[in-house]
Amino acid sequence: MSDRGLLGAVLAAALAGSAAGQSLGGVASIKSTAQGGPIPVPAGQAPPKSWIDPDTHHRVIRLTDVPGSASFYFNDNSITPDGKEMVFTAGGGICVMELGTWKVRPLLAGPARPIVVGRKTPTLYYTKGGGRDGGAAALWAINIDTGENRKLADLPRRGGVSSINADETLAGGTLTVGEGAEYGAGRRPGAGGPGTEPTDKPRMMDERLKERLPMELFVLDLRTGERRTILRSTDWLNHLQFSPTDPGLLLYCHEGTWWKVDRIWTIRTDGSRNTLVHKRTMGLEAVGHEFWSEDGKTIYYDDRFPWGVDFFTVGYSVATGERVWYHVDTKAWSIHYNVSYDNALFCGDGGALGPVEWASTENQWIYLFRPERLDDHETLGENLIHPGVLHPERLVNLLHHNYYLEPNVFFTPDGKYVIFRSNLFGPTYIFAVEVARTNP
Amino acid sequence: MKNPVLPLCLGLLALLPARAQNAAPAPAQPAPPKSWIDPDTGHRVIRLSDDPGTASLYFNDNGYTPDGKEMIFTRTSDGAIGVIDLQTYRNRIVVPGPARAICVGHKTNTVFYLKGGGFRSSTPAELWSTNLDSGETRKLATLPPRASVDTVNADETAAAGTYTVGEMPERGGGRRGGRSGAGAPGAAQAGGTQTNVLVPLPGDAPAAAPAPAESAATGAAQTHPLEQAYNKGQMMRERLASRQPIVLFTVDFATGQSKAVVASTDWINHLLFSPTDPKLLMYCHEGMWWQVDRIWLVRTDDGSRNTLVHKRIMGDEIAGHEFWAPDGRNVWYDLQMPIGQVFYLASYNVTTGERVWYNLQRNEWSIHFNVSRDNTLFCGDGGDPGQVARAPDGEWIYLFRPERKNDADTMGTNLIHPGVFHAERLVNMSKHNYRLEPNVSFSPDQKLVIFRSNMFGPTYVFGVEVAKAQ
Repeated sequence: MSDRGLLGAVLAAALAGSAAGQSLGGVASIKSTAQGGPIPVPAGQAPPKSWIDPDTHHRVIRLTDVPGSASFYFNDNSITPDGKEMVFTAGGGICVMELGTWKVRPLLAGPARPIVVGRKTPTLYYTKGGGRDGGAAALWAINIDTGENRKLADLPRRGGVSSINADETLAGGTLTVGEGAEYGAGRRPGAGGPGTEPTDKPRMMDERLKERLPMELFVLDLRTGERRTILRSTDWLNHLQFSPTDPGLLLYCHEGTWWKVDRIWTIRTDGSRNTLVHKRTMGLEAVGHEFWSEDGKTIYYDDRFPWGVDFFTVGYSVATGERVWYHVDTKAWSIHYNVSYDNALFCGDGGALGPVEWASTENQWIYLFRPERLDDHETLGENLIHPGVLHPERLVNLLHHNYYLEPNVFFTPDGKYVIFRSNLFGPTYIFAVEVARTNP
Repeated sequence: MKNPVLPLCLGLLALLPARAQNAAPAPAQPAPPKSWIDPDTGHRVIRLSDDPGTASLYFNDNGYTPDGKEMIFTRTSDGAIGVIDLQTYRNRIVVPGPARAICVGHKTNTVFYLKGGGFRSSTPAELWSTNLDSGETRKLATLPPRASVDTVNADETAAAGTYTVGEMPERGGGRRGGRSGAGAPGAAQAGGTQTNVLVPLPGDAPAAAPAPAESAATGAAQTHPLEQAYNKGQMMRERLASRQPIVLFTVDFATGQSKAVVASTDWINHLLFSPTDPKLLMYCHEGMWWQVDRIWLVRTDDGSRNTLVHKRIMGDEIAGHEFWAPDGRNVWYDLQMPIGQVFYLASYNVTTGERVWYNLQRNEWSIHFNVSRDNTLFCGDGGDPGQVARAPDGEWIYLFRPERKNDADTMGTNLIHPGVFHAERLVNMSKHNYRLEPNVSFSPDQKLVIFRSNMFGPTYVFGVEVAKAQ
């Protein structure tokens, strides 16, 4: 890769500037670069294809050329079962990238809303049509290798599907019963432009939570199109994620401000064993941003204990109920975390003041975390939580990233890269950072 | 009633003039300054005691007179108990040694202390009191064999203590007598300045490598009677494993009679009566903090409502160094979840069960904390890098301003209320050797945080002004 040739003078100057800010240790100088917005790219030029982050000595690679291209939400699978390709969105359409060579090919013209890539076959599941006007959407699937594209089912009015189970026999979704005003009815655009978090999200969340609209959690048979309700609730149901390995196990959430709900649940697809994963014990304790380990054994989530003060990344074994709480230093706290396929490493996408009230410029990094389980020392008691720590290593300086777009980290299957989206050059692109440090 | 009227059967064995003896050993080195402004904090520090080898009480034992005018101190050289006037800082000796101070009463200006007994002694210890104003001194009771008394109740009608049943040697007795057993001979001979012993030492936590001094220690490697023993962790593990039968008892000052309240094979220690409810006693299961359910409350009139204050939920979670708020409403304790990682000062309301946890930063963690009379301020005595927090910059006396987080709209019942401490440094303790724990407490008027320190070599009592110097 001819990255050095592509490292333009402007970028070099900007990165050197941020490095100088770090080495001086002056808050003011860091702030000034942070407030400078994205790294400027001269007209007619593309941002650099690759560079070594001067603060971390990890190589960063820009994976996409199309402005506005983005990787998936951190906990939605975008990688094919063989581990070789990744699906992403670009310009309203959907593309495929070969991991390692980063070669890109188009898969599907838009408009399409991707759900996930299957765990068993190289299939992208997505929806078309419908939308906020209440019209019904349809569920589709396209084979990533062959391009075979088929409609699987029409979705119910005011309903949607958001997860596909491990053997790709079921989709999971929710629908709202009745005519109550849905979340986001009066949505204002996000401060970072389209695709970013809305600035009045807390107000909208509270309003929707109070509505207590009747909802149904359903599974949809992908062969017959038959829909079966597995839970009826006036809690606000959202964030469905099937286990990556157990086709009958679904993670879902009670949506709302995190300390106003008991958020994370699991349920069998026959409607049995509806189980609260985390029972909060403290005022302003908040859990969320849950994700599965690739082996399906563990659900991880961020436990703010309490909100804004102290942070744990918690692992919950779905088979045994065993728990590990990995303490994360506030200065390395991240909006989203993820775990490597072999469970040996974690990553995080940092955060920034503005979207996150307790974050500072200290948090504006892509992180690698090495988990350490602490010795329990024959502690007296039963069913005790196992203590641990996540030790951070900085991977990418994101002082120029506007965190109203969340980077949404995940590992490549080989554990060699952490993939994220960023607007550090202005438009959003997908990036990968090497987990291994370059030799200085 | 200024002095308790005691039945004649207890006897009135001695009436000592309160201001009689002030024979200090000759200082081996020039006396440290009486007062200075800490250049790092801007707070004035005042040396409150005159003699080298003088110390304030253990942080949770009351050393202040109910009228708020005086505090007691102990003197290592002869085991005497003295009084500091908190206005003039004048020192005077009121109990000639050897004596082992327990506390000052919550109702009258009276110091309670033990004489005699001890681990190798064949004779039982005696419980005495001396009125700090009149010097009137009484023997209140002869304790059961091998017994010790730790605490006096709110209306000064009873004391509580423990004794071990049977003849197994009390572990750790060779070093300093546990409160669960008799006082150590060393303590008696040294004059009994120790008011509390065998505090589970976070520095002993196996979560981190033992201090070189500890791993090299053989036998009872105590260097000074006020300091923590280097082999404390080992002593504690041995004693805990022995599961000796132990009785928690009260002794009635009116009758001199002892009454069992709790019998247990848990290692019972750290008894502390409520400062306001005469029949409510806090006590602990002693041992390494993660190997016990430590903090309990029990009614002493009938042994009822034996209640665990804090149920741990995490491996290596620890709770300890408990103390009462002066108004008797809350029990406070150091909570680490897990040890050395996440730090709280936690409270439990003994009436409502309500809990507040104040989060602390690593450097602010303190071996002991305390709370002001009006519950608006907290203090801490910091810790060196060898302590459990492994704080790189924790050698300070701290003032903490508590901030409760607004959690009114959190969904759930019986939730812990969250909060954070905002720390202000009061005294630079970098010259202090933390083997001696500073043991902070507020003066009754809340104008001083009082502690002991060896920052000048010998131990003295110091106070630091809560307000910054002008």
